[in-house]
Order: sequence, then structure tokens, then C-alpha cells
Amino acid sequence: MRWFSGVGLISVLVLASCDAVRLPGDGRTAPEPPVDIPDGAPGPPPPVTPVSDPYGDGETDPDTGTADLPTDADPTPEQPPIEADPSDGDEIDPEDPEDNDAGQNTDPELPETPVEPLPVVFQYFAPGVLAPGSGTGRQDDTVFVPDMVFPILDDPAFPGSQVWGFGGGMSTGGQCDARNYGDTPWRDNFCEHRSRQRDTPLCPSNNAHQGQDIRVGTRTGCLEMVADRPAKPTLYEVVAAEAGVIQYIGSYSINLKGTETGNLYKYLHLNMGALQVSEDDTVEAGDLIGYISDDFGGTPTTYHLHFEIKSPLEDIGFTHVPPYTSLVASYEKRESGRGERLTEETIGVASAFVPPEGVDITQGMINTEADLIDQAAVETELLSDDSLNDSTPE
Amino acid sequence: MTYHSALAVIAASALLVGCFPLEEETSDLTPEDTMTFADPAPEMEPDSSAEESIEVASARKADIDWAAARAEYAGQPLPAETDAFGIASMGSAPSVPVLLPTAPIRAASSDGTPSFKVMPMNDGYYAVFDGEAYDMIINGSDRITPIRADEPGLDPEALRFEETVTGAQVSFKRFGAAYLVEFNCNGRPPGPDLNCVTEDEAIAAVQDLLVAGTQ
Repeated sequence: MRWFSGVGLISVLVLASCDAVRLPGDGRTAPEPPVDIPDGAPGPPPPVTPVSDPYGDGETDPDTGTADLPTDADPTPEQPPIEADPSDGDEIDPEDPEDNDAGQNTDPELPETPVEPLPVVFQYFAPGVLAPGSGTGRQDDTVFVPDMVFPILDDPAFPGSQVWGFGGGMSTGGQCDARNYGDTPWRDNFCEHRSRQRDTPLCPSNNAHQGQDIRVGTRTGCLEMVADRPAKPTLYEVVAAEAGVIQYIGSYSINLKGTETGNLYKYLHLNMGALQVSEDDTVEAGDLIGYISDDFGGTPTTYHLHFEIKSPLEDIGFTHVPPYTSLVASYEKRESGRGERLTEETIGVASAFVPPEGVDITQGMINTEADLIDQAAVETELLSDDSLNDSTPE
Repeated sequence: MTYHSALAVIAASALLVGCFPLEEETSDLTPEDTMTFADPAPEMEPDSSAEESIEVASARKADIDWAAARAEYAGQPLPAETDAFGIASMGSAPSVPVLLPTAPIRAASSDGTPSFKVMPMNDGYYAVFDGEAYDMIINGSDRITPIRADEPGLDPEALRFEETVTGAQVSFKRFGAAYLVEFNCNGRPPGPDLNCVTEDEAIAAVQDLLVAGTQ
């Protein structure tokens, strides 16, 4: 009887505290703290500035330079005295919002105002979820370049497959198809299948696409670029992803050597006749490099940016890393919003990829004269139809 | 059943249902397992768990084995033309040993005059050699970008050849530094059956690199 009583009492206590019990990995979020904090409760957590004497032995960390900080043992920090605002020159007035730190709540016993979540400004599939039938991607949430600047200045951007996207050689339609723009979700295409033996350690299978393709702008902008041929476009601006040096300019590529990370960024298919940089130029992150185009060493590809990052990886050495997560993070920063990740939809299909026989899959799927003619004919017809039917600018 | 035993049963149920997660919530399935059994139906629903899984890779500096680099520099047979590239004893020597070709480049410029430059960077250096069929770009860096723990490492000293969309590259680690040698095709991109540099040629060019500068 006593045993049951003891178990019952303990169980009631556990049940009562149930909402506060959380185990690592249980997938549940911690509850909100109660609004009413009883008297005598500890104050807010200590400041995040470095501790001057963490071991209480009188020695301070020379790196932190915090020897002059007070070492108050009282866990409840004192409120700093309110100082007069020298800019307005008057006495301290608690009612004056200028003297009251813009009306901010400085009472540690009151709950903080919840922060509004950033608005959703784009949607994206998870890393490694490639276009159906285009290969097996790398499922990796690592942001390899957390401080990267998005490589497109301010226009809408749509990372995704060129070859398997509309207008690509493994799909239908023209490259200016409205479904390539607007609200179309982003897609990873690092590791997408290529015919040449481009093996790279971070891809689960060989013959892989070593960067991320990015369409830029709107359908209308795309049609303008097509209509202006053979002139090369200067419509959409491409910028430096990191501060560094323009290391090398090839016939259709630009190498940017990052100063801080040691990363190498490779930009392909810009308008090579209108570059805004020269070799050995020093650039800051966000500086203009050039414009989106279709240059590919003579034979054009689709209008897009092919963007690569090579990092000196631990235990591997310099290699291509997936740009996708860094692009997501940097676009969120650029737009002051957030991307909404969509659930994995086609991984089962993508992992069962079988390369088609007799098809040479290259960047943009434009590699032979025959492909060029076919592409031009199809595109001309589709663009003509689209022009008649589409009067709504994007 | 007594009042107390009923209370104990209720409490035990609470432990199982409320406090501890159900088995469904703590599945041991790896992402790969999930991938294998994923429903391929084209549903596009927001994934609320995405925020929790994001990791950030921050680069750090490598420890360079300068003693080994100096020993190799002192012991290697230097052809006369290599002296032109010797940049040891520079006031601001790069932070990694400088590897350069013994000859300017295998495929010389069309007028026979090789063109090259060496640029110190705060993580190392790079050097560019202009050629006819391809240009050669050598990068040396003391940075290390971490990778996730389950990533299988490679033999870092091995010369790893890859074709690229602009030609080919060979990467390797030496003296603790990471090196990348790019062969950038001049003109058109590599065709379906032809590249501007073969694997044998690229590997041979990298094997010919000598230590041309140390701290």
C-alpha cells in the first residue's frame, strides 16, 4: 500500500511537470516561459560579454581585454544609471522617449515582445532534391559560405536546372517560359548528371554538374534579351560574392579569389564583352562584375549564371562544394526575408536515374551544330506564340 | 484496483504518452532511409524542420610544415630557369610554400614568350601562366573548411584529377596547405570526347612543380 502511494505521488508530480520535460531529439519545442515571474526569482541571464576572470584566480584572459570589467557576484545585474542625452541638452525626463532609449522596455521582469517572423519571399526545395530524372543530389544542409553575398545584385533569381528546366535539352518549351520565373521554387542542381567525366568528391555519383545554375529576372526580360540578339545583354547585374581579387578571366569564365575564406568562385556565361572588372582587380563583396548572358566560348547556352564555389576542405583539399545553401542564406539576407523550404517530393524518382543513351548532356545542352539548329527553331516558334499570348509583364 | 494503483497506472501512461516521445517521433531513420521510402507524390508542403538542420562551415588556418618545405627547397635540383621564379626571402612571403613549374608552362604562348604572374594573398598565393591550349592557374591556401563528421575523407596527399566545365583541375595537400592547379582551356569548352588537357598531361605538370619559395 505504501509502495503504491509512493509511486502515485511521484507519478502525479511527474505528470504535473510533464510539459517542462524535454529530451534531446524529441522533436518538441520548449514551452514559452510563464508571464508571471514570482518574487525572488533570479534575474535575467548574465551579459554575453567575455568574463574577465572565469576561474576566480585573479588572472584575466589577455585576448579578451576585459580586466577592467567589474566582477559583481550578484547574479542580478544592476540597472545602469540613465545618462542624459547630450544631443538634446535637457534634463532627464522619463516621459521623454528620447531620454528613455526610444521607449524600449528595460525592465528585466517583463517578457520581451515577440519578434515578428520575416516574411516568406521565395520557396525552395531542400538541398539535394534535383529535378526529377536529372541525377542524385547531395543532401547536405551545410552553409559553406555563411557570409556570402548573393551574386545577383537586385533582380529576382531562380536557381534550378537549365538542362531539365523549360527550354533545356532534356525538357520542352523555350528558355523564356513563364514557368522558369515568377513564383517557381528554387532547385538544387549541384551533382546533376553530365556526360563528361566530371567527378567530384561531394557528389554521390560521377559525371556531375559542379556548380549551381541560376536564371535571373523575368520572362519579359528574357524575351528582350532574345529579341536583341546578336547584341549581348546588360540587363541583369552580377556581383562579387566575397571581397577578393579577380584572379583570371577566361573566354567564358571569371575566377574570383576570396580574400578571407580562400574560396574560389567561378562565374560562367556572363557578357564577356561588357565585364566591369579586369584581371588582378581588387573587389569588395557586392561590387559589379558584369551582366547575365549566354557566352560559352562561341556557342551560346541559355541566359543564366553558372556559379561554382571551390573550398579547401578538411581531409579532402580544394574541391567543388554545393553553392545552394549559401545561395539560400545570402538571398534571404538580400531580400530581408526568408525562404520557405518545401518537402522532398521527388527524391525516389531522382535516385533511380538512368543516363539516356546517345545523348550528350552538357551545360545548357547546346553542344553540336544540330542541337543549335533544333534549339533555335523550337525557341523561335515558342517565343512567337508566347509573344502573342502574353501581354502581362512580370 | 485500489485508488493508489489506479493513480500509478495513470501516471505511467502519462510518462509513456506525454513526457516521452512516441516511437514514431524518434525514428532512427537516416536521411538516406527516408529518401528510399519517400513518397514520390508531387506534394509541395512547407518543411518546418528545415531551420533546425542548418549547419555553418567556418574556415580556420592550417598548420604549415615549414621545416619540410625548407628541406625540400634546399634539396631539390633547381633548373636554371627556376631561378626566375624563386621568391624565397621576400619581405612578405606567402603564408604557404610556393609551388611553381620548373618551366613556365608546357604549352607556351603563341609567340613563344611565356606569360606568368605570382600574386601573394593573405591565405597563400596564386600564380597564372598563360599558354596556347590552356592557361594554368596554381592556388595555394592555408585555409581549412570543415566538413560534416560522416564525410569520408580522401588521401590528402594524392593528386586528384577532375575534369571541369572549363578544362580540368588537380588538387592535393602538401606541407599542410591545400593546392589547386587549374587547366583552363582557351577558346571553346571541352567537347564530348576531347579536352584541352589529358589527365596524364595534367598530372605530369603537377608532379613537375617545385618549391620556389618558403618562409
